[in-house]
Amino acid sequence: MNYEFHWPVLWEYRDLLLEGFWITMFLFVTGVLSSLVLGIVFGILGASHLRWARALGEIYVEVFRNTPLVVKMFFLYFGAGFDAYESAIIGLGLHQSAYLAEIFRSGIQAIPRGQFEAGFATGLTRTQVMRRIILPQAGFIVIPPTTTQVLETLKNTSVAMTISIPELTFQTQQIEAYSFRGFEAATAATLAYLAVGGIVGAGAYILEHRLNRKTKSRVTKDMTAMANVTAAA
Amino acid sequence: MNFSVITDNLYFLSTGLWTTVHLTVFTLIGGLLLGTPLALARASGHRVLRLPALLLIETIRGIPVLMLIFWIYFLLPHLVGAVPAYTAGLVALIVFNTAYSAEIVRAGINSIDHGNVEAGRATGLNLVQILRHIVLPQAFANMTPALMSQAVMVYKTTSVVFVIGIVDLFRAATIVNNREFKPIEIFAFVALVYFIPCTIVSRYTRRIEIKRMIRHGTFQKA
Repeated sequence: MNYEFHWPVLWEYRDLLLEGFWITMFLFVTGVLSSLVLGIVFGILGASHLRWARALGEIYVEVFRNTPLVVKMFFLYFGAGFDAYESAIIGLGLHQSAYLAEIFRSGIQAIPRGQFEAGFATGLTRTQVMRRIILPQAGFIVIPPTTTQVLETLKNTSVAMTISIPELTFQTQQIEAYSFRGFEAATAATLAYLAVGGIVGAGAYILEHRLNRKTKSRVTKDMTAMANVTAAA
Repeated sequence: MNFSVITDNLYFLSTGLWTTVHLTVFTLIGGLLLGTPLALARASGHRVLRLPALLLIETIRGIPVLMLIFWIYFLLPHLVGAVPAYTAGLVALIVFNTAYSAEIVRAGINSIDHGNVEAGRATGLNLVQILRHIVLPQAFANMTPALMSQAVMVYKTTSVVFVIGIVDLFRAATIVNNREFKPIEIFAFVALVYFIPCTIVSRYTRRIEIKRMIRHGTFQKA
């Protein structure tokens, strides 16, 4: 392989790369937020005791998880008449939220049923049991798979280039087209993706371990309290 | 709504679907064939094998598949001369799938109790024999659900190789759309062609998983 690298090209096209980077970050943040909201809603529906809510949650997950992201974006952009950014964000939100809903559903269902029953027995309502007992614990156990999906969202922002949004991957193509310096541009973009992904992954790791320490102490306290209640009864 | 645009272009769309199908099949086979040795390297006790494997897997998994497609598309001509877009796309998909498959295979190997290896050693088998006759058969049985999910993932992911000009199902659909401009009908139809097999496989996968959980006694009814 005899390719002469020419790194100054990155400085020359720094505006394109930076613009692409910020657009990628914008799509990433909006995509994560919208998919978290939709994912929590449909995850809770999917874990519901009501048959229609469960069916709704399940259909949502199957429909949006089993179609490619690029098809959704094209449908929204060319078919439904949204502009490029709307199509990208809605498409990302629908796509990633289906995966998240499935994660949240199984997270809720992983909490032993006895906890529901214990909650009802102490006189809490269904909402209170959900909010105070089930969701905090489920929220904790879903952190690792949720992190994986957040990182998927980061990578999937690149699909927005297909509907001509000038994000990072799109800009590497522009630089290739202008200067035939695709390698240098692709190297820079690759490092940027890896750096952002690394920061997000490290953040999730720290969050999990912090919460782990806190919950552990709280759970032990609760256990002692519960043991006392049982003993008194 | 006028779905005659689909029936009129059915032949063209089906040639695209055929490309998508063989891209998927080759990618799955290639990913598994290359992913297994990569997983063994990644799980190896030797740092010389483990660290490069780790770096390779994490880099590939850390970047968008589109980025990977462009990398291969730029890189291949410098290494082996001009290649058709199909080859570049297939190589990129295989590289992508190799990294993911390697992680699945590694998890499968880790799921096998180490006592199996020791028992194999005790009966005088060498490492390759232990892997081939004891560890890998059990590991692959445990990996079936994960590999099927990965197959669904690959089938959907092939839809992005159209960026380098491969006429797969999705590219065929955009070509038809450019000529007829019936985006709602065309993309809804394409979504359905992706949706049906993916849903069948993912439902079946879930059934196997539940069966396995019942067998291991870890299943709790929702």
